[in-house]
Amino acid sequence: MKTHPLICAGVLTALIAIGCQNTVNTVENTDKSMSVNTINDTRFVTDGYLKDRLALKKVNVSKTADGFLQVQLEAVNVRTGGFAQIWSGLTQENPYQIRYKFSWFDQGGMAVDTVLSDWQDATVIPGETVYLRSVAPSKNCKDFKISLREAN
Amino acid sequence: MNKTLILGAAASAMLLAGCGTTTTIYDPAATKTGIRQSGSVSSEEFREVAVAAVRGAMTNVKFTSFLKRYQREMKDPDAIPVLKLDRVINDTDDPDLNVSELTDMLNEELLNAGKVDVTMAEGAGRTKAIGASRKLQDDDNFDQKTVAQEGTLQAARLVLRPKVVSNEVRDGGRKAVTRTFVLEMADIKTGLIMWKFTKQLGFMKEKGTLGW
Repeated sequence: MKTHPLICAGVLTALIAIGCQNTVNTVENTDKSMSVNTINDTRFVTDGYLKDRLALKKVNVSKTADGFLQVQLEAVNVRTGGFAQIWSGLTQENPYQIRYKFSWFDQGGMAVDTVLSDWQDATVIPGETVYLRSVAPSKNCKDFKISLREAN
Repeated sequence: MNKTLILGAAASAMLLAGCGTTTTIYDPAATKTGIRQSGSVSSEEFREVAVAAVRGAMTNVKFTSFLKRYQREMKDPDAIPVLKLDRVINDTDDPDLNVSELTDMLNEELLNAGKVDVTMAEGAGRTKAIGASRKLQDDDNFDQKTVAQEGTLQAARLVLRPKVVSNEVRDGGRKAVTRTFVLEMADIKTGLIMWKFTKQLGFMKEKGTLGW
Protein backbone atom coordinates (compact mmCIF):
# COMPACT_ATOMS: atom_id res chain seq x y z
CA MET A 1 0.00 0.00 0.00
CA LYS A 2 2.83 2.38 0.90
CA THR A 3 4.68 1.80 -2.34
CA HIS A 4 1.78 3.17 -4.39
CA PRO A 5 2.49 6.88 -3.73
CA LEU A 6 6.19 6.24 -4.35
CA ILE A 7 5.49 4.72 -7.78
CA CYS A 8 3.19 7.63 -8.61
CA ALA A 9 5.87 10.11 -7.58
CA GLY A 10 8.43 8.24 -9.67
CA VAL A 11 6.22 8.21 -12.73
CA LEU A 12 5.42 11.90 -12.25
CA THR A 13 9.11 12.77 -11.95
CA ALA A 14 9.90 10.78 -15.08
CA LEU A 15 7.11 12.57 -16.95
CA ILE A 16 8.38 15.95 -15.77
CA ALA A 17 11.89 14.92 -16.78
CA ILE A 18 10.73 14.04 -20.27
CA GLY A 19 8.65 17.21 -20.46
CA CYS A 20 11.60 19.35 -19.41
CA GLN A 21 13.75 18.08 -22.25
CA ASN A 22 14.57 21.04 -24.43
CA THR A 23 17.74 20.14 -26.21
CA VAL A 24 19.24 20.69 -29.63
CA ASN A 25 19.03 18.19 -32.48
CA THR A 26 21.33 18.64 -35.46
CA VAL A 27 21.64 17.44 -39.02
CA GLU A 28 24.62 17.86 -41.32
CA ASN A 29 26.10 16.59 -44.56
CA THR A 30 27.82 13.22 -44.15
CA ASP A 31 30.42 13.57 -46.86
CA LYS A 32 32.52 16.53 -45.90
CA SER A 33 34.44 18.58 -48.43
CA MET A 34 36.29 20.75 -45.91
CA SER A 35 39.87 19.94 -45.03
CA VAL A 36 40.19 20.40 -41.30
CA ASN A 37 43.48 20.63 -39.44
CA THR A 38 42.65 19.11 -36.06
CA ILE A 39 45.56 19.19 -33.65
CA ASN A 40 46.50 17.14 -30.59
CA ASP A 41 45.70 18.96 -27.37
CA THR A 42 46.81 18.82 -23.77
CA ARG A 43 44.19 19.35 -21.06
CA PHE A 44 44.48 20.43 -17.46
CA VAL A 45 41.20 20.02 -15.56
CA THR A 46 40.49 21.70 -12.23
CA ASP A 47 36.68 21.85 -12.54
CA GLY A 48 35.28 18.37 -13.00
CA TYR A 49 31.70 19.67 -13.22
CA LEU A 50 32.56 21.87 -16.19
CA LYS A 51 34.36 18.96 -17.85
CA ASP A 52 31.26 16.77 -17.46
CA ARG A 53 28.86 19.41 -18.73
CA LEU A 54 30.83 20.85 -21.63
CA ALA A 55 32.58 18.23 -23.73
CA LEU A 56 35.55 19.67 -25.63
CA LYS A 57 35.49 17.82 -28.94
CA LYS A 58 38.41 19.13 -30.96
CA VAL A 59 40.69 22.04 -31.67
CA ASN A 60 41.16 23.14 -35.28
CA VAL A 61 43.95 25.41 -36.41
CA SER A 62 44.37 27.32 -39.65
CA LYS A 63 45.89 30.52 -40.95
CA THR A 64 44.09 33.62 -42.19
CA ALA A 65 44.70 34.87 -45.74
CA ASP A 66 47.51 37.09 -44.46
CA GLY A 67 49.18 34.47 -42.31
CA PHE A 68 47.72 34.97 -38.83
CA LEU A 69 47.13 31.84 -36.75
CA GLN A 70 43.46 31.19 -35.97
CA VAL A 71 42.03 28.62 -33.63
CA GLN A 72 38.59 27.11 -33.21
CA LEU A 73 37.50 24.97 -30.28
CA GLU A 74 34.45 22.77 -30.78
CA ALA A 75 32.50 22.14 -27.59
CA VAL A 76 29.16 20.48 -26.86
CA ASN A 77 26.83 20.88 -23.89
CA VAL A 78 26.29 17.21 -23.05
CA ARG A 79 23.83 17.74 -20.16
CA THR A 80 20.94 16.35 -22.16
CA GLY A 81 19.37 13.64 -19.98
CA GLY A 82 16.02 14.21 -18.29
CA PHE A 83 17.42 14.23 -14.75
CA ALA A 84 20.36 16.35 -15.84
CA GLN A 85 17.82 18.80 -17.25
CA ILE A 86 15.88 18.94 -13.99
CA TRP A 87 19.05 19.43 -12.01
CA SER A 88 20.31 22.11 -14.40
CA GLY A 89 16.94 23.84 -14.08
CA LEU A 90 17.10 23.76 -10.28
CA THR A 91 20.65 25.09 -10.21
CA GLN A 92 19.79 27.71 -12.87
CA GLU A 93 22.36 26.28 -15.26
CA ASN A 94 20.06 25.95 -18.23
CA PRO A 95 21.11 27.43 -20.62
CA TYR A 96 24.67 26.91 -19.55
CA GLN A 97 26.69 30.11 -19.21
CA ILE A 98 30.41 29.83 -19.67
CA ARG A 99 33.36 32.16 -20.04
CA TYR A 100 36.39 31.49 -22.17
CA LYS A 101 39.69 33.15 -22.88
CA PHE A 102 42.35 32.72 -25.54
CA SER A 103 45.93 33.44 -24.49
CA TRP A 104 48.53 33.89 -27.21
CA PHE A 105 52.25 33.21 -26.99
CA ASP A 106 55.13 34.33 -29.17
CA GLN A 107 58.07 32.21 -30.34
CA GLY A 108 59.80 32.71 -27.00
CA GLY A 109 56.75 31.52 -25.05
CA MET A 110 55.91 35.00 -23.80
CA ALA A 111 52.20 35.79 -23.41
CA VAL A 112 51.09 38.60 -25.72
CA ASP A 113 49.04 41.36 -24.13
CA THR A 114 45.92 41.97 -26.22
CA VAL A 115 42.21 42.70 -25.84
CA LEU A 116 41.67 39.44 -27.73
CA SER A 117 42.68 37.70 -24.49
CA ASP A 118 39.72 39.13 -22.55
CA TRP A 119 37.27 36.68 -20.96
CA GLN A 120 34.32 36.23 -23.31
CA ASP A 121 30.81 35.02 -22.54
CA ALA A 122 29.05 32.17 -24.30
CA THR A 123 25.67 30.57 -23.75
CA VAL A 124 25.30 26.90 -24.61
CA ILE A 125 21.89 25.22 -24.82
CA PRO A 126 21.87 21.50 -23.88
CA GLY A 127 22.94 19.50 -26.91
CA GLU A 128 24.24 22.57 -28.70
CA THR A 129 27.67 22.65 -30.30
CA VAL A 130 29.52 25.94 -29.99
CA TYR A 131 32.61 27.01 -31.88
CA LEU A 132 34.85 29.25 -29.79
CA ARG A 133 37.14 31.03 -32.16
CA SER A 134 39.95 33.53 -32.01
CA VAL A 135 42.66 34.90 -34.25
CA ALA A 136 46.21 35.68 -33.15
CA PRO A 137 46.88 39.37 -32.49
CA SER A 138 50.11 39.23 -34.51
CA LYS A 139 51.98 37.02 -36.93
CA ASN A 140 54.59 36.39 -34.22
CA CYS A 141 52.10 34.36 -32.17
CA LYS A 142 52.90 30.68 -32.52
CA ASP A 143 51.04 29.00 -29.66
CA PHE A 144 47.87 29.43 -27.65
CA LYS A 145 45.97 28.31 -24.59
CA ILE A 146 42.19 28.30 -24.13
CA SER A 147 40.81 28.73 -20.61
CA LEU A 148 37.20 27.89 -19.77
CA ARG A 149 35.11 28.43 -16.67
CA GLU A 150 31.51 28.50 -15.57
CA ALA A 151 30.06 32.00 -15.58
CA ASN A 152 27.90 31.52 -12.47
CA MET B 1 27.72 51.65 33.12
CA ASN B 2 31.12 51.41 31.41
CA LYS B 3 30.03 48.20 29.74
CA THR B 4 26.98 49.95 28.27
CA LEU B 5 29.18 52.75 26.94
CA ILE B 6 31.63 50.32 25.33
CA LEU B 7 28.80 48.35 23.74
CA GLY B 8 27.18 51.56 22.48
CA ALA B 9 30.49 52.76 21.01
CA ALA B 10 31.08 49.38 19.34
CA ALA B 11 27.58 49.38 17.86
CA SER B 12 28.05 52.95 16.58
CA ALA B 13 31.43 52.04 15.07
CA MET B 14 29.89 49.05 13.32
CA LEU B 15 27.04 51.17 11.98
CA LEU B 16 29.47 53.81 10.73
CA ALA B 17 31.63 51.16 9.09
CA GLY B 18 28.55 49.78 7.37
CA CYS B 19 27.68 53.21 6.02
CA GLY B 20 31.14 53.73 4.53
CA THR B 21 31.80 53.55 0.80
CA THR B 22 33.54 50.39 -0.33
CA THR B 23 36.02 50.54 -3.17
CA THR B 24 36.80 47.36 -5.06
CA ILE B 25 39.65 47.28 -7.53
CA TYR B 26 38.96 45.06 -10.52
CA ASP B 27 40.50 44.12 -13.83
CA PRO B 28 38.16 45.13 -16.69
CA ALA B 29 39.68 42.40 -18.88
CA ALA B 30 38.70 39.67 -16.43
CA THR B 31 35.61 40.91 -14.61
CA LYS B 32 32.27 41.99 -15.93
CA THR B 33 30.23 44.20 -13.63
CA GLY B 34 27.10 44.08 -15.78
CA ILE B 35 26.31 47.64 -14.70
CA ARG B 36 24.41 49.46 -17.42
CA GLN B 37 22.89 52.93 -17.52
CA SER B 38 20.49 54.31 -20.06
CA GLY B 39 22.03 57.80 -20.18
CA SER B 40 25.62 56.81 -20.71
CA VAL B 41 27.56 54.10 -22.51
CA SER B 42 29.85 52.22 -20.15
CA SER B 43 33.50 51.43 -20.62
CA GLU B 44 32.57 47.75 -20.36
CA GLU B 45 30.32 48.05 -23.40
CA PHE B 46 33.07 49.77 -25.38
CA ARG B 47 35.54 47.05 -24.44
CA GLU B 48 33.10 44.33 -25.46
CA VAL B 49 32.57 45.97 -28.85
CA ALA B 50 36.31 46.60 -29.29
CA VAL B 51 37.15 42.91 -28.79
CA ALA B 52 34.55 41.84 -31.33
CA ALA B 53 35.62 44.58 -33.76
CA VAL B 54 39.28 43.61 -33.57
CA ARG B 55 38.39 39.99 -34.17
CA GLY B 56 36.23 41.01 -37.13
CA ALA B 57 38.92 43.23 -38.65
CA MET B 58 41.62 40.59 -38.25
CA THR B 59 39.65 37.92 -40.08
CA ASN B 60 37.90 40.08 -42.65
CA VAL B 61 38.71 38.84 -46.14
CA LYS B 62 37.94 42.15 -47.87
CA PHE B 63 40.28 44.02 -45.55
CA THR B 64 43.03 41.47 -46.17
CA SER B 65 42.61 41.66 -49.95
CA PHE B 66 42.71 45.47 -49.72
CA LEU B 67 46.05 45.26 -47.90
CA LYS B 68 47.45 43.01 -50.63
CA ARG B 69 46.18 45.36 -53.33
CA TYR B 70 47.70 48.31 -51.50
CA GLN B 71 51.10 46.61 -51.27
CA ARG B 72 51.02 45.87 -55.00
CA GLU B 73 50.03 49.47 -55.70
CA MET B 74 52.87 50.82 -53.56
CA LYS B 75 55.29 48.26 -55.08
CA ASP B 76 56.36 47.38 -51.53
CA PRO B 77 55.45 43.99 -49.98
CA ASP B 78 55.74 45.53 -46.50
CA ALA B 79 53.70 48.69 -47.19
CA ILE B 80 51.05 49.45 -44.58
CA PRO B 81 48.23 51.94 -45.17
CA VAL B 82 47.82 54.94 -42.87
CA LEU B 83 44.54 55.20 -40.97
CA LYS B 84 42.90 58.35 -39.67
CA LEU B 85 39.95 58.68 -37.37
CA ASP B 86 36.79 60.50 -38.43
CA ARG B 87 34.37 62.44 -36.24
CA VAL B 88 31.96 60.26 -34.25
CA ILE B 89 28.32 60.10 -35.27
CA ASN B 90 26.48 60.21 -31.96
CA ASP B 91 22.84 59.20 -32.11
CA THR B 92 22.42 58.37 -28.44
CA ASP B 93 20.99 60.03 -25.37
CA ASP B 94 24.54 60.57 -24.11
CA PRO B 95 25.63 64.02 -25.37
CA ASP B 96 29.15 63.57 -24.01
CA LEU B 97 29.70 60.25 -25.73
CA ASN B 98 33.38 59.57 -26.16
CA VAL B 99 34.16 56.55 -28.26
CA SER B 100 37.93 56.94 -27.98
CA GLU B 101 38.04 53.93 -25.64
CA LEU B 102 36.69 51.85 -28.50
CA THR B 103 38.68 53.38 -31.35
CA ASP B 104 41.93 53.48 -29.33
CA MET B 105 41.69 49.77 -28.55
CA LEU B 106 40.89 48.95 -32.17
CA ASN B 107 43.70 51.17 -33.49
CA GLU B 108 46.19 49.71 -31.03
CA GLU B 109 45.40 46.14 -32.01
CA LEU B 110 45.52 46.87 -35.75
CA LEU B 111 48.76 48.78 -35.22
CA ASN B 112 50.33 45.94 -33.22
CA ALA B 113 49.16 43.42 -35.78
CA GLY B 114 50.94 45.40 -38.50
CA LYS B 115 47.73 45.90 -40.44
CA VAL B 116 47.66 49.71 -40.39
CA ASP B 117 49.69 52.71 -39.30
CA VAL B 118 47.69 55.27 -37.37
CA THR B 119 48.24 58.97 -37.98
CA MET B 120 48.01 61.77 -35.45
CA ALA B 121 48.64 64.39 -38.14
CA GLU B 122 45.07 64.49 -39.49
CA GLY B 123 41.54 63.39 -38.68
CA ALA B 124 39.72 63.48 -35.35
CA GLY B 125 42.84 62.25 -33.52
CA ARG B 126 44.93 65.13 -34.89
CA THR B 127 47.43 66.80 -32.60
CA LYS B 128 48.63 70.37 -33.08
CA ALA B 129 52.06 69.41 -31.78
CA ILE B 130 53.04 67.84 -35.11
CA GLY B 131 52.37 71.05 -37.03
CA ALA B 132 53.89 73.19 -34.29
CA SER B 133 57.16 71.26 -34.47
CA ARG B 134 57.59 72.38 -38.08
CA LYS B 135 57.48 76.01 -37.01
CA LEU B 136 60.84 75.47 -35.37
CA GLN B 137 62.53 75.60 -38.77
CA ASP B 138 63.38 79.28 -38.31
CA ASP B 139 64.36 79.00 -34.67
CA ASP B 140 68.13 79.17 -34.29
CA ASN B 141 67.92 77.68 -30.82
CA PHE B 142 67.19 74.27 -32.35
CA ASP B 143 69.58 72.00 -34.18
CA GLN B 144 67.95 72.16 -37.62
CA LYS B 145 68.99 68.57 -38.41
CA THR B 146 66.56 67.40 -35.71
CA VAL B 147 63.66 69.62 -36.81
CA ALA B 148 60.97 67.89 -38.88
CA GLN B 149 60.99 69.11 -42.45
CA GLU B 150 58.05 69.98 -44.64
CA GLY B 151 56.75 67.29 -46.96
CA THR B 152 57.50 64.38 -44.63
CA LEU B 153 54.01 63.72 -43.24
CA GLN B 154 52.14 60.76 -44.65
CA ALA B 155 48.54 61.27 -45.68
CA ALA B 156 45.94 58.76 -44.58
CA ARG B 157 44.71 56.20 -47.07
CA LEU B 158 42.03 54.81 -44.77
CA VAL B 159 39.43 56.52 -42.63
CA LEU B 160 37.63 54.96 -39.67
CA ARG B 161 34.23 56.36 -38.76
CA PRO B 162 32.52 55.25 -35.54
CA LYS B 163 28.77 55.57 -35.11
CA VAL B 164 26.70 54.76 -32.03
CA VAL B 165 22.90 54.59 -32.18
CA SER B 166 20.77 54.13 -29.08
CA ASN B 167 17.20 52.96 -28.96
CA GLU B 168 14.95 52.86 -25.90
CA VAL B 169 11.52 51.27 -25.53
CA ARG B 170 9.28 51.20 -22.48
CA ASP B 171 6.51 48.85 -21.55
CA GLY B 172 4.83 49.64 -18.25
CA GLY B 173 7.51 49.27 -15.61
CA ARG B 174 10.04 47.80 -17.98
CA LYS B 175 12.59 49.54 -20.15
CA ALA B 176 14.80 48.01 -22.83
CA VAL B 177 17.80 49.86 -24.21
CA THR B 178 19.63 48.74 -27.34
CA ARG B 179 22.84 50.28 -28.54
CA THR B 180 24.16 49.69 -32.01
CA PHE B 181 27.84 50.29 -32.57
CA VAL B 182 28.90 50.69 -36.18
CA LEU B 183 32.47 51.02 -37.38
CA GLU B 184 33.12 51.80 -41.03
CA MET B 185 36.52 51.85 -42.65
CA ALA B 186 36.74 53.36 -46.12
CA ASP B 187 39.45 53.65 -48.73
CA ILE B 188 39.99 57.42 -49.15
CA LYS B 189 41.16 56.95 -52.74
CA THR B 190 37.96 55.29 -53.91
CA GLY B 191 35.53 56.24 -51.15
CA LEU B 192 34.45 52.64 -50.92
CA ILE B 193 33.84 50.96 -47.60
CA MET B 194 36.27 48.10 -47.27
CA TRP B 195 35.34 46.98 -43.76
CA LYS B 196 32.16 47.45 -41.81
CA PHE B 197 31.40 46.14 -38.36
CA THR B 198 28.10 46.27 -36.51
CA LYS B 199 27.41 45.04 -33.01
CA GLN B 200 24.31 45.45 -30.91
CA LEU B 201 24.34 45.43 -27.12
CA GLY B 202 21.21 45.63 -25.03
CA PHE B 203 19.94 45.61 -21.49
CA MET B 204 16.60 45.67 -19.69
CA LYS B 205 15.63 47.42 -16.48
CA GLU B 206 12.61 46.89 -14.31
CA LYS B 207 11.14 49.81 -12.41
CA GLY B 208 11.86 49.72 -8.68
CA THR B 209 9.92 51.45 -5.92
CA LEU B 210 12.16 54.54 -6.17
CA GLY B 211 11.98 54.84 -9.95
CA TRP B 212 14.63 53.89 -12.55
